[in-house]
Amino acid sequence: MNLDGALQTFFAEAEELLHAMESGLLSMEEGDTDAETLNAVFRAAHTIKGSAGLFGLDNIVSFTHILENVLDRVRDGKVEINSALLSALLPCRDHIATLVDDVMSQRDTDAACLAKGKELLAALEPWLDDSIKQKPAAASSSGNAAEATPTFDKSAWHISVRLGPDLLRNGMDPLSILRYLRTLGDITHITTLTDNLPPLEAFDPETLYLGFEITLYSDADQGAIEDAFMFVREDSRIQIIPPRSHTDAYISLIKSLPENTHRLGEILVKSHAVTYQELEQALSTQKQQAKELEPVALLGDILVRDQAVAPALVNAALDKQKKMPKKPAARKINLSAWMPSAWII
Amino acid sequence: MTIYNAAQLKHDLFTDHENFPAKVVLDLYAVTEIDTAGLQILLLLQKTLAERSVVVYIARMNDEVEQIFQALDLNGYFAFDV
Repeated sequence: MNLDGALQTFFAEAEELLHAMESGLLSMEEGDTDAETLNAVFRAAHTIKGSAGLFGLDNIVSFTHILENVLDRVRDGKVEINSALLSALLPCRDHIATLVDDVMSQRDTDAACLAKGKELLAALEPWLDDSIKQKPAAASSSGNAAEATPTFDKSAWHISVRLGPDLLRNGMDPLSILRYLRTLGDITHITTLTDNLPPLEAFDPETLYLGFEITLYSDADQGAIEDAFMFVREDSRIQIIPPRSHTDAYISLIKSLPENTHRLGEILVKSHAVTYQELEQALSTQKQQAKELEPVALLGDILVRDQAVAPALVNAALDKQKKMPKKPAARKINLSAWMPSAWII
Repeated sequence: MTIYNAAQLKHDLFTDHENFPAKVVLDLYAVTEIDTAGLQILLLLQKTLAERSVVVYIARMNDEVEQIFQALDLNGYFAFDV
């Protein structure tokens, strides 16, 4: 494990943003309350929260979430800027700096500091939105279903994610990226692809081999979705297909990916990105252009045929098991017994 | 089951895997922490054993593990009805 990669970028960025937040707040104290200053302060908090979420730094996320709410209301002119507000905001900025410091020195944030954080947030209460006052517990980025209320104007993005092999080693986890995406909308479909897992002998436990195909219902713009990947762009292949894209976009996606064409087609159809008919048509048109006279197997048929050759893994396993001549004894691996408590971090 | 003990997890799960019977049962109830590195090893176990028609069952999961399995839609890779 080295923390030199993405996390270092986060520290550097956080330092810059905290500095921007401080000078913004100080300017506000001096009477500079123009939109640009208010926006800069809000943006700093917003970005720190988002980035911290990508690293699963929940203390920073939940604290900054509340602060961000106040700053958002300040920016929208719903909250009057006065000295009481500013003297509540400045120590919040310092508190975030402390939390970031703790992560940087790989130190657990102590109880006194967490208590201080609660105090600071309590002091913000007069300026908070009612909705957040009632539910401070939902402030983390863990993104459970209750947090995201689906609306009808959201539309389906398809996000194809092949992350760099060193991502885990660099202290990141794709699960944090998913949590971040869930703050932008609802993930209605996800496939975790194991196609690139090497044979056991070649498998390195710290290398990432999994790929992800994601359907995200969100009315966020593309930039906001791209932000989920801001620390992993290097070495990663992220393809984002906007809602209501032409079938061609999905066809080029399939062609650009290393995995089996029909498996990918199946995923896209299952996630309602395209219909069988659209894919069939697009693929057959392309094939016909390539080979004018040859009859083309439609994708639907190919998929059905593939079911027999490469069925879903669990079915394969079960089918094969049915063919076993006798019922063998099960071996039970009890991970609780297996795992010494010293390993639980 | 995290990147911090991934190498050990791989070693322990795969020791003697050539001789596993046709049914392997995992109990994930007491797993306090799991990340993508840990999940990846479970998926490797499933994939490796499936080549020899060995099915990986999951007997129990706690809420945290269950949530992560749902978040990545991993349930299809394993069998549950032991």
